[in-house]
Amino acid sequence: MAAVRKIISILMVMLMIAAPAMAEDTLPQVNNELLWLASSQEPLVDSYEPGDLVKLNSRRSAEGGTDAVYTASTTSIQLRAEAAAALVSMCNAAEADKTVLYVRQGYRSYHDEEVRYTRMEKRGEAAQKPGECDYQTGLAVTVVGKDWRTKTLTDEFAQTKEGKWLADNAAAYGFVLRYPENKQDITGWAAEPWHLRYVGVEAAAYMQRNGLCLEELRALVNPVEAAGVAVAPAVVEGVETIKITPTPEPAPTPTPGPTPEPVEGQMVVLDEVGPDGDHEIGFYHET
Amino acid sequence: MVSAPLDEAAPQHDIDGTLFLINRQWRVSKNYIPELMRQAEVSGKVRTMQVEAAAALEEMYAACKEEENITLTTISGYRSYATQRAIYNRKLDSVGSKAKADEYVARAGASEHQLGMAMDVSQKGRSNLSTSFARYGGGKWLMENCWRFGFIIRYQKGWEDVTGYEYEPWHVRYVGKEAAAAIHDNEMPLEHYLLLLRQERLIDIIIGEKVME
Repeated sequence: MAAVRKIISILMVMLMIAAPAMAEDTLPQVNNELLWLASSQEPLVDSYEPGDLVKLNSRRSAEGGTDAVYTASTTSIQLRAEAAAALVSMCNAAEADKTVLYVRQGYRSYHDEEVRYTRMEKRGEAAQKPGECDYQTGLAVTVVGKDWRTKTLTDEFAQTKEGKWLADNAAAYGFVLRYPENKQDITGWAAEPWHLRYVGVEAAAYMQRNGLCLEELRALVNPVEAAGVAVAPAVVEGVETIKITPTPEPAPTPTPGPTPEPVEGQMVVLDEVGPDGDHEIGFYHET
Repeated sequence: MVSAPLDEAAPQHDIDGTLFLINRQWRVSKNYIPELMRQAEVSGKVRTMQVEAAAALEEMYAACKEEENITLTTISGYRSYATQRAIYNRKLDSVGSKAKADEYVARAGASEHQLGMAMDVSQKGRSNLSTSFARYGGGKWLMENCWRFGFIIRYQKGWEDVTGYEYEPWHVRYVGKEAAAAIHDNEMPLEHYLLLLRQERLIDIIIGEKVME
């Protein structure tokens, strides 16, 4: 019985490795961390805090500063380094396009989310639970135009010049809308045209070309998950048991296979890309 | 790197708070007198402020002296309701209409000076308050640096619709270092900063008693 299960597992994996190559649009090479959902399906643990947060420099109109962004926030804004750099590029490009962007929100800690949740509940407003909020990833950012610096955020922002610019152009810088229009039944949340999420340029381009939200992309990259198999939270405290191809290099590399979550007693197949670019398939038993 | 935590307590439920909003729309009663005030140890005549603001003012003036070798002075700090009323009436006499007077002088109860949180600043050798102060060394330094000490230039160019007042390069308001830094970065009037604060931290900030004209 165990032997049959082993064979089926291997076959499944090999099929899944082959399947993406057969698809017309090649699945993106992605760093798994950049695709964490931080949702009710896949919450972040309370201790998760990105190790590479950087503070965004605030740009003031009198001072030039192409390494800074215009901000509208009562506290300094932080993002993970790669997302921060991409945001600065994007804002500079937008400004060159006569569209001035302002940043209102970046990283929020689990604790911040707890406080926020309590206050939202008191007001009787729907709120995301701590651990299920994109801003804890350090990859999420609220971006608006000048007129919306202090306005309560609503989907009307999508009709503004800045909202439209973001919808059309953010993907080129690696950002996507975390809660797009018409995806509420998948994401669980109404559209938020101000809420960008950094996923990297490849994933963003793929999502934009195919009209996907993050949950949908994840279903393609992790087909086991999509089949309804119970999955442990993406972040296992302190330990990363499954390694996926690390930070993508600009040079093309083979598409990675799916990475099934370990279940006690099951044999796990790992498909890694080694430093020399070759597939390395390994097996081990989860105990 | 630890993120700045959300405040546990809502800032400024009471009128002595550093973020208390006073403008033409939001006022204080004639009975309000700040509890803890003292004279700032700086040059000038009327140099009384709330104690925290006074300390910050001293720090700021000392820094200006050290960095630019300019002696900043005080023209007017705390002003009582009665004093403010007298000033307004004097302006009214000189310009003739309330509409005109309102552009330059706050009505009694509508002045930040009554909070003991505002100071009209000048520099040695000048004693009047005019926009030309912005072109002097002291005025320039103040504009660029007051935020480091917890102050903001309260009434700036382009904000007239929001603040209700014309540009006043001499008038600084104490809001504390954190708020001053954020306001400096955001380049927005206090009214907008408070809107942001309320949304970000989901707290109700007391912003004065609304006065219907």
